[in-house]
Amino acid sequence: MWDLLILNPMVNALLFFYRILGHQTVLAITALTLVVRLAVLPLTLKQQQAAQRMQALQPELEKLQKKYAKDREKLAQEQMKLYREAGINPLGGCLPLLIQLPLLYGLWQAIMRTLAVSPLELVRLSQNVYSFIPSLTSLIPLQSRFLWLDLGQPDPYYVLPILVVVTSWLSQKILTPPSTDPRSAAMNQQMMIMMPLMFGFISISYSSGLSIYFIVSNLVTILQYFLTPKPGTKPGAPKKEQDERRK
Amino acid sequence: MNRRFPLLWLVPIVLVILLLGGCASGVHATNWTTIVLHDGTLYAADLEQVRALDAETGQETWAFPAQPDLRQYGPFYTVTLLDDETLLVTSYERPGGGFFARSVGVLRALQRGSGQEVWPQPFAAAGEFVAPGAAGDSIFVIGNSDGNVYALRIADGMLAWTFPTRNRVWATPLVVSDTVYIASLDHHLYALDLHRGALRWQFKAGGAMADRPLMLNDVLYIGSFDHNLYALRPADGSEIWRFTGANWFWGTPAGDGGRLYAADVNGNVYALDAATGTEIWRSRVNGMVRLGPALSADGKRLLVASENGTLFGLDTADGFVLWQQAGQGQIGSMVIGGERVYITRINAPQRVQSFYVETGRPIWSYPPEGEK
Repeated sequence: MWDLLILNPMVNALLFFYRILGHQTVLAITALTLVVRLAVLPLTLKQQQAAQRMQALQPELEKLQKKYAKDREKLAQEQMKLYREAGINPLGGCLPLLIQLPLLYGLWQAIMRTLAVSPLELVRLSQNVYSFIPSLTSLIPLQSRFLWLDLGQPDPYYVLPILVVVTSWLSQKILTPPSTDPRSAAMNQQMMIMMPLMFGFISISYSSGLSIYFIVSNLVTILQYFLTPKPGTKPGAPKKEQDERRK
Repeated sequence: MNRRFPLLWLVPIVLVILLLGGCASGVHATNWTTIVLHDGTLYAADLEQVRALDAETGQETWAFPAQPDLRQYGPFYTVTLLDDETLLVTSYERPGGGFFARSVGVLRALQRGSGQEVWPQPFAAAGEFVAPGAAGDSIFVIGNSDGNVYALRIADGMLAWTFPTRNRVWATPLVVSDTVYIASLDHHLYALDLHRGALRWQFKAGGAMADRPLMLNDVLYIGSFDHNLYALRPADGSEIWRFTGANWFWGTPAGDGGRLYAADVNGNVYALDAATGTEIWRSRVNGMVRLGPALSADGKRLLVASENGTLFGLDTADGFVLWQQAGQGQIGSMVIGGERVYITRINAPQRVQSFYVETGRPIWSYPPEGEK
């Protein structure tokens, strides 16, 4: 079912882009990443907005936590009341993320599968390519040479892993809202170091094509952040609503 | 930095390093293993080691290296028998073994009787040697994932010539007289001069070709990912006929006299008239089929191995599936010797097995059941 609904369409879309973009694997990966990111954009925006609105409520929540520190039941009731008044679903940020994750994982898997570095991977690819479009089969295996890279192998000069770490850190940095809670702030700081390093290690070990995907995806995240209106920058934003409510 | 958990952020990174470094026990196979049979002995590339096994009993005669040592050797994937004296084995090694080490394809010559190394230095190439090579007239030819075809002098392992292609070479060459026929994933079948590596002709198919061609009755047969099985003239590579299947043809076809047998990756098995390409019968087995079918010595049984680990015995008269033997792990290669078939498996506890061709009854497994 996973292959039918997620993996196969993505593999064939990647092959389609490869075909129309002059057999350039890097362009095909970039195009597919952009299309998938565009498809999940409404969800990403919802998730971002929900996170920002939750952030705006943080001072109110802290007050409640202090006030009802010894009565957890009352605290929960008051928190829910606050969410209701602000028109926020506390799980509103999770659902878009849950829907996006399979698509983004599918994209990752489609790139790895289509690059088919090893024979075992290539033979599996035979089951993902639509055999009713014979012209797609003739594209396999994809051209893996790009500049100094063999896209099926890790970058021997570590340029891409470094770019992955830098862009991951940047996207992580701009997406992580400042927290007034010291524990959350410390955790955020750890994540900001840990996640880029983790992606860097993955880039060192896996094919360069995957690194291209990470970099494009991070750049999209950064661009999206700068193009998205921030809370408090326009009338009716949650923070402002809260201030008015307080008055 | 969080003072209460100063090193907490290191935990996932260490986990990822362990995961990527392959610290889990055993070998993560990226390719299939191969086997050859000669003079009552099987020589199998068995990932951690190359083994010589008694074909009758499955008892190990020798292993190279004596103890598995993945930091220095392996995993071993292919073995080629050169002559009565010498075996060539390939592995994909990480010299130095560190996290930043790059894997290279390594080719070694071993004494057939003892497993001792013959060449003073192994031969290394940038990519993986995916399939066994072939020898002719003191020259050994093998394809590599770096896109090159390498020819080495058998005596000392020195490079005789290289031939570059435009994509990975995952196919075993076929050496006939002074010509090497070798397919590349760049969609071409090349005919090369054995001694100089000069191009004699090339044939372009609509898709990649990943295995050795079959020479039968002075015709070359080879399958392609473009769903076609081609019959070509060996003199100039011109096409005689083509047969279109349901999906990619990966493995080498089998044939005897007037018939040709081939399987596509969807599990369709075809019997064709070798002269015209006309379909005689079509059968189907469960699972993906990558390995070419093998024909029994008497021509009555066709053995087909699926990627889900099942070995099938078909009646060559009509393609009826007479028996099937399921097993754990993908089947890497198979070789028929008399009334027995020997297979290698990857990702399975039993990595070499023997069955009766006629009935599919198991004979022995290596390592024996219950042994690690």
